[in-house]
Amino acid sequence: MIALADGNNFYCSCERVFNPTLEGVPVVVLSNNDGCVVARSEEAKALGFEMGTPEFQARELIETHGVRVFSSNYTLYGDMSRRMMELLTASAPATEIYSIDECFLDYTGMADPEEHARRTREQVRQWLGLPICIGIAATKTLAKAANKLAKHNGGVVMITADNTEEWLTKLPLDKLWGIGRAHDRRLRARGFRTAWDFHQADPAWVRKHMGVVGERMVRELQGIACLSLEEVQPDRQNVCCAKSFGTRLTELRDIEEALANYVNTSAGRVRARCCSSASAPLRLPNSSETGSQPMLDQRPAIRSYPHVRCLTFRPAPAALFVRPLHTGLPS
Amino acid sequence: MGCKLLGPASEIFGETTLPLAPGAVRAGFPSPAADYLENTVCLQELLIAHPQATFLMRVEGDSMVGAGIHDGDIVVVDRAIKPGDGKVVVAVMDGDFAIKRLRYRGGECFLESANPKFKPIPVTEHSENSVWGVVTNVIHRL
Ligand SMILES: [Mg+2]
Repeated sequence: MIALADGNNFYCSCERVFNPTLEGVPVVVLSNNDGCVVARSEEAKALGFEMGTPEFQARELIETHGVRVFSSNYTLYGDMSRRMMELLTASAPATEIYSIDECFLDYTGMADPEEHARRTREQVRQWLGLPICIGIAATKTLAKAANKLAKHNGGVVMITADNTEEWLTKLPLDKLWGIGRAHDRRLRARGFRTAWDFHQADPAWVRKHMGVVGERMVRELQGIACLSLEEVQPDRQNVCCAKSFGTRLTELRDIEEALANYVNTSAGRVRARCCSSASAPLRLPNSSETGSQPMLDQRPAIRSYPHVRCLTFRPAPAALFVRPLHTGLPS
Repeated sequence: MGCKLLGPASEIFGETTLPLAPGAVRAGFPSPAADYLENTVCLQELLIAHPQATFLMRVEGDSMVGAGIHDGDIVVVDRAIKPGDGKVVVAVMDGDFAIKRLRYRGGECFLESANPKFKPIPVTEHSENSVWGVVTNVIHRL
């Protein structure tokens, strides 16, 4: 069995640990450079806050309901993530840290996986004050699905061959791992509504319309493991932190602040993977992805950093790539 | 008496080990250098039993001076330890952190100060939630 542990509303939960006045009230966390919602407490979700909404658009909702608003504190989130991953890593013979608040755990041969998951969940809550959910199943894709379902079903859900239909009919298609908007639309047009519908899809049709990746997803839903636990992640050795800006940045100060955030986030990811980094090329595009209106003025950056020679002009989000010098587990 | 969160413990203490001077220091007897180098102490290990569950906080106020906790001290707080009678704890009171001694008396739970100026506070509801962590060590600058 494979388990997926995932922090609930991770950034909001981190803020709550150190600020008891946030208990039971709506909380949102904003990205530092562009002020978009990047985390919502359950109360904030219930009020209708959406991910990615710029703060100014949500201002009325914030004021009406006395929502507590925080800018991102990546130092704090990174430290809490490291603590959580250390506990999770100790809880299973093999693990794969998947993101700042997600970790796959190898539960192979475990006598009572649900009980073990409940104990791990309770330890993280007690030691760190963080609520997490754990989904358990035969494959990574099913474990992801079980995790989503666990959020509203007591924190731990185990999908087995006997209860797959019961659980997957409860999971809307777009909540499935790897189903983007385009796939969701295509599948809906064909009458698929839930993860179970997709589970039942004709493999030939899926292969034709969604390629081998889609076919692999269906297999994974059927309990046939196609994705293994990647303790060493060869395809994730480069760390990339890319963001579009909500407003046009023209001041060097603002660009530097945004960059400082990228560096902080990237460094956290590099540390989480136990690498030391060698180089960090930076891309500062001159226009937004949508084209016409340039979202970032390169000129101040070029004036102040004459050694920055090559800035791409492709329309793409600003990005910081970090390439590792070497990868290895700390002794 | 309140307290403020400091940075992650590991970054403050680091992994440095310091040499430990041999047991009794007797005036006039030179300590053998070999002993000095053989015994090392890691402050991290000495003060922190559960690194993942340990947080450092700076003390504000004088309600715990009787327990040797002074204004400006740093307390080591361990969330992995079960709070019990007599333990010094970081408690949540009216949305604030406070350092108190936990007491069970006649089936009731109190948060006591270690200063006669302050009265014990009965913990009525959510008693387990009101304890944030257990104080295990005090770092006091002389
Ligand atoms: Mg999460």
